[in-house]
This record gives sequence, C-alpha cells and structure tokens, in this order.
Amino acid sequence: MRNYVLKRLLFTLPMMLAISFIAFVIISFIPSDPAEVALRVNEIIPTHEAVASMRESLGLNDPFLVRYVNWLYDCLRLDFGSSYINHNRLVFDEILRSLPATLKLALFSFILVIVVSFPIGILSAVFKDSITDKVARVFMFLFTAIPNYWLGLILMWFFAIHFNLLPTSGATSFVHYILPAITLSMTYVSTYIRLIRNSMLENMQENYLFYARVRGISEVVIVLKHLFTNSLQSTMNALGMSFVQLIAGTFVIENIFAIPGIGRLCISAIFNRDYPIIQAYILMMGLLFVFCNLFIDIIQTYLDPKQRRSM
Amino acid sequence: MKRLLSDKLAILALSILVTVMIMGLFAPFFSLHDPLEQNIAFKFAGMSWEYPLGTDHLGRCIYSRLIFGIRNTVFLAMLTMVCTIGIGVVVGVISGYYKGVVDEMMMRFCDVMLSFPSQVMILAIVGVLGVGIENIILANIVIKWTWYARMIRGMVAGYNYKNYVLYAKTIGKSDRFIISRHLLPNIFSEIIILATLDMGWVIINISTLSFLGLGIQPPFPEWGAMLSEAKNVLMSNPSQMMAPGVAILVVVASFNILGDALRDMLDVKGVVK
Amino acid sequence: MILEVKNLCVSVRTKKGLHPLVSDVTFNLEKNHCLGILGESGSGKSLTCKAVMGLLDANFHLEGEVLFHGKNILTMFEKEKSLIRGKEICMVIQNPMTAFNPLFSMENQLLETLQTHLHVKNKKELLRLILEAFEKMNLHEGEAILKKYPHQLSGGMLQRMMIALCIALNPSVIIADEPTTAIDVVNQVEVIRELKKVRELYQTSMLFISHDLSILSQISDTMMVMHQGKIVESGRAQEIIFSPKEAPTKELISTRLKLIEAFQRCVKECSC
Repeated sequence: MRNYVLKRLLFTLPMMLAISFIAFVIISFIPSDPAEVALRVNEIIPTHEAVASMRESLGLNDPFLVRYVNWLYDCLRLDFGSSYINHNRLVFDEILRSLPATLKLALFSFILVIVVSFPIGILSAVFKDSITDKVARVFMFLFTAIPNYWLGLILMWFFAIHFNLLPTSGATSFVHYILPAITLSMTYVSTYIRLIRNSMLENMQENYLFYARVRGISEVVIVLKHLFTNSLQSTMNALGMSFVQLIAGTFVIENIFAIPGIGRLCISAIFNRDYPIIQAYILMMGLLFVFCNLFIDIIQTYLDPKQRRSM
Repeated sequence: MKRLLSDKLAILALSILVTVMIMGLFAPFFSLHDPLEQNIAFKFAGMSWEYPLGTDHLGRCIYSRLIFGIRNTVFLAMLTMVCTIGIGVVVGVISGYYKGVVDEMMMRFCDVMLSFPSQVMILAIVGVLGVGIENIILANIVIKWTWYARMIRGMVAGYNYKNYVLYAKTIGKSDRFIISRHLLPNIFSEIIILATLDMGWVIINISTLSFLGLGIQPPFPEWGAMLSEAKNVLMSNPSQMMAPGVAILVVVASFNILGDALRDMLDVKGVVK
Repeated sequence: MILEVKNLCVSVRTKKGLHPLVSDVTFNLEKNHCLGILGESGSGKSLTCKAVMGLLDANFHLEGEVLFHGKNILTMFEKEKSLIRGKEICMVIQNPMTAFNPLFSMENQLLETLQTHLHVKNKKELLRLILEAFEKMNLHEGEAILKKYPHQLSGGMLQRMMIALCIALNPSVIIADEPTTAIDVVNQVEVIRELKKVRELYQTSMLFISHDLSILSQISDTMMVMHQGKIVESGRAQEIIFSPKEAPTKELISTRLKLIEAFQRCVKECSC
C-alpha cells in the first residue's frame, strides 16, 4: 500500500514539472513588457531608465532557463513574488487569504451535489419511466441548459431580495454560502443524476444481480449494496475530477455573490494585468488538479478488489 | 431524415434554431430600433408595441438588443465551433490516417492538454492575452480542439480498415482522394452530432465570460453582457434579467435536444459526452 | 407432490401486444426426484424456471399455476415469494464467473444469503454451516476460500460454491439452470458428481435444465423436451434417449450423435 502511494507520487513529479513550466511560459507570452506594466500600474512614467532598472530588479535580463529555474526555486519556497498592483502585498499571502472562501464554497457544493444527485439518480434508475424519473429527467435537461450565472441571479432575486431570507453577498457566515453553493452545484447535480442513472441502468442486467435475486436477497439490499456500489465505482473518476472543476468553476459564482475567493482574485488580476497573481493561480490550480487525480486514483485502486492485491 | 421528422421535439428545436439564425442574419430587418440608441426618457419602460420587451437602464430597446445579440452570442459560438472542428479535423485526420510518430506525438500533446481543467486554461489564456472577445474565442478554441482531434482520430482510425478504403489504397488512389471521398464524408455526420451537442456548452461558456466583462465590451449587445447589466439593477428592476436569460436557455436547450435526437437517429457509438 | 406446474404460459409485453414465449407447460416434481428439461437455446427452458421462481418482472405476462406445496407462487405477494425463493427453492445458475458481486468477498455474499433466510444471527454458527457444506462439495481450505473475491476463483469453484450454498440452506427443490455450460469439461464432471451427491445425501428434488443430452441422461429420472416454448415430449429419461418419438427430440439426439462421430473421426485421424 505505502509503496504504491509512493510510486504514484513519484509519477506525478513530471506532470507537476510540466504544469510549472506551462505556468511560467504562458506569462512570457504576454504582449506587453512586464517591467513596463509594473511601472504603469504604479503610476511611474516608464522612461528608458525606469524600465531598465525595473527589468533588472525583476530579473528579466537573465536567460530563459535561468529565469525558469530561479522562479521554480522561489515557488518551492512559496515565494511567488509580490503583486504588481501593490508591491507591499505578497502573492502568496493574497492567495492564502482568498483560498478558504473558495474551498468552503467548493466543499459545500460538493456535498450538496452528492446529497442531492445520488438519491435522485438511484430512484430514477430503479423506477425508470415513473413520475420521479420523468421529473428528474426534465430537471436534468433544464439545468444543463441554464447558464449558472443566470440561475444565480434568479435565486439571488427570489430568496435574497424578494423574500429577504438570505444575504446577497459576502462570505462572513454559513448562510452566505447557501445560495452560491446551490447555484454552483446545480449544473453538476444534473450531470451526476445522469451519470448515476445511466451507470445503474447499464449494470442492471448484470448476472450478479440476477443471482442475488435468486438467492432471495431483499430488493433494497440489491439496489444499494450490489447495484449502487458497482455503479459508484465507474462514476468515481468523474466525481474526483468534478471537485477540481468546482474549485476552478467558482470564479463566476464568486463574482455574482461577491465572495472574496481565489476566482474573484484571479478575475480582478486579469483586469489589472497583475501577472504574478495569474501565474500563481494557474500553478496552484494545476497542482490541485494533479493531486486530486492522484487521490482519486489511490482511493479507486483501494476500493476495487481486483486492483487492491497489486498494490 | 424521416426519423428526425417524426420526432416532434427535435422539429421544434430545429425550427427555433433556424428562426434564430434567420433573425440574427437579418437583424436590421427584424429589429425595431438601433440596439445602441439610448433614450433616457424611456428607461425601464414596460412592454409596448414600440418596445416589445421594454427598455433597459439606458432606455435601449431590449428586443432589438436581443436580436443583434444573436450575432454576438450564437454566431460567435458557431465561429468558435467551426474553427475548433477545422483544426480538429486536420490534426485528427493526419493522426488517424498516417499514424506513426506524428500521431504518437500529437496524441500525447492532446493528453496533456486534456488533463488540465478547461476553466483554468481559459482564464490563463485570457489573463495573458488580455480582455476581449477575440481572446475568449481563441481560448475556447485552444481548450477544445484537442478533444475533437482525439475523437476524429478515433473515427478515422475506425474507417482505415474498412474494405473500400483498403481497396482504394490497393488500386493506388491518392491519399487526398481517399481522405476527401471516403473518410471525410463518413465522419461528417458524426462530427455534426458532436458539434451540435457541444454548441450549448460553447454558448454558455462565451456568454459567461462576457457576463464577467472579459468578452464583449459594452455598449455592444451580447446576451451574457446584457445579463451583467441587468445584475446591476437587480434590486430595482429584476425583470431586466428575464429576456436574455430565457434566450440563452431556449437556444442552448434547442441545441441539446437536436443533438440528442441526431445521435439517437444515427445511433453513433462512442459519441457520449 | 412438491412442485406442480399447470398450463404455464409466459408472454412478453411488446408495443404490438403480448408475444407468447412459453405456452401450456405442465409438469410435476415429486420428492427425491429429478426432472430434466432438454431443449436447444431459446426453447423457453430458462424462462420456465424463472417463472417458477417468481423472478419475472412486470414486462412478462403469466398465466396458469405454479403450485409449491399446494400454494400458487404466481399470485403470491413479493414478501411471501421472497420467503420461498432462495430458501425453499434454490437455484444454481449458469455463468458462475459473473454470478457474484466483484466488490465483495465470498464470505460477505454467502453470509448475506444465510442471514436473509436463517434465523440464526450468530456469525460463527453460520460460517460453520458454510464450511460444512464446503467440505461436502470437496472444497477444502474453506476459510481461505471465503476470504477471496470472485475474480480470484475459477468457474468450477464458484459453481460448486453455489451448490454448497444450496446445501447450507437445505431447500426442498434445487433448480439447476445449465450449471455445466460455462465451465470446462473436467469441472463439468465434478459438478455433476456433486449434484448427484446432494440428491443422495438430502433427497432434494431437482429440476435440471440442459441442452446437453449426455449430462441429462446421467442425472435425471424423467425428462421432458421443449421446443419453441412448448413441451414436445416427456417420459422416462432412458425411453426418450433410446426411442425418441417427436421430430425435435430426434433432431437433438441425432445432432449429438453426429457430433460424437465427428469427434471420434478426428481422434482417429490424429492418432494415425
């Protein structure tokens, strides 16, 4: 077990290196000179001398690979430089400050996705073509076509403005997360109902279910223990991926509900051309993605008896 | 085609889409006002014969903005799709038909690209290139083409061993002839289905970014951007957000229904999202 | 009389109305008796068994009577049926390799079955029952086997475990639905031997389904031949094998003979 995890960890190293390289290279594609941008946003007139000294201080005159290695070394020490907008603010601090809100939002949504989609998915598969199933299908269809920012606006108007039940913006308490989490999770809920439903319908013809019925096992046990677990096995991968997608997808919702999260930080960085923050965002999301992948892989291998022995 | 016609829902979806396209193409003919024309005296007007869907916070005709918005929302999404598929077909056909080292390299590259969450990639590209609709379209193409290249490569590889392709090779037909006469016509229908199913996603994606202010810039009409303006007056005039939202919903739903119907009709295997 | 099937008709509901699959099947099963059902695939043998077990869902329309100890299974509520199914009527199914859930250990799945039917909640007691049954089925090192998962065991082993599960439950009827089709010849012989042993030990009645005449002739007392959803011939096993009357039976037997001849010819050619 431990060997397997270590081996898998080792395999992620090249991927992590590739992501760091992408994050570094992408920033060198920017159409404008970073030194000049840094000067402009601080309202210093970019004279030749000022640009030259800024280039020197940002280390832009070194060869490409040297810059990459230096940058990587800094990253390993969690030093992502300082924001272009405000030199006193370190990128790492900014990210650290906005990360909790995003993670909370993603986590709430993730729980919501599971709590809502699993029961509905199971019911609509077991009672295929019943009223439940038809309602679930209409729901699925509707929520794959609704843009989630519009849904957010509707929910905000209905619950926060019209009935004044919930706050419209901010992230100071749990209630602030209710509407954003619902908005964020809806698209995924419909995806998962569909996934679970299809996977269960596919597995329904399996011989082991027939034999379980032959053995006289009760229908509830058959559905939950034998059918659902096997269907979950095949949806596990998608589930793991969607946690990262939830984190990456929060930027829209954070902007609507004014949640000071990492997505909002990134969007405002894009408007301000604050490249170090964008770079750190790309790097962090990429790494998060790799780790989630790894985590899901390990869990999946552990849960599958066929693979467990090879661990 | 007959089976498609027997599916009433698909017919409805198709006719909605055709109507929308015609309205978009001949937008000046269908609209009642200049979409940019402001009339502060009439701001937030209700529905009337002159303003069928009322006016917005600057007194602009919402109906006309919606009609002109088709060009920016739906047509730009279609442009994105055409470019994406164009690149996907070129890479996919080369990879699938010629195989070998090129294939191996391209597919590994696609793997790396596909293993990155698409939203982050879009933000990265827009972040580097700056705000603007052309960068959004570019970002969407960059993150999408790899997926199409993979799918198309798979399709081409499937046809590679069909007897008529083998026969054409044996009698010494040129690669260009085989690709244009045998492969492309065969994979064409599958590509159309893929594209139809994916259009909704692209429309939502582009309008989302416009909603955030990263895409189409005001005052030009785009459905996502219209919703962004509606958001600012959500407290006082919540009805502002209805028209563009419903428009997106209807168009995206129509594409989804049509895509599903086409897939069921042709029973294409492997086209599962 | 343990099981009486009277005028059983099974039809499937389609868009164009009912489509008959099995019609007018009547047979009796007495205590300590083995009835073999012979027929090619698609002749309705398995469907008849599923109907007897009450395993057909709402897509099928059933007529006639299936009396188990005088009570009609077809009109029973699901709850009553589940008391009989698995406990009083056990079934050994084909394709043992896919019969068990791949995610759970054999112990888990066998215990689950016993816990459903026996009113013994003591796990050790139940395990002892299973291990005893294993010994009778020539499955040694039972405790090690129980810890394994389905994919780690061979088809023959899994088939014998199914039979062992039947023994542990001590049913009145065992239905064996092509138990030898999906396993290799060596294991086929084993499985037949074990099933014969079960009959000797417990005097259980048995319904044995196969398309293989030689296997049926080894185990069954009486036999009936099914063809296109109907019974075409029934009687004592020996009589049917040596003097078939109806065309489908003759066909089945002659095909079998041709096969054996062809095989022997091959063997001869090879040895020359």
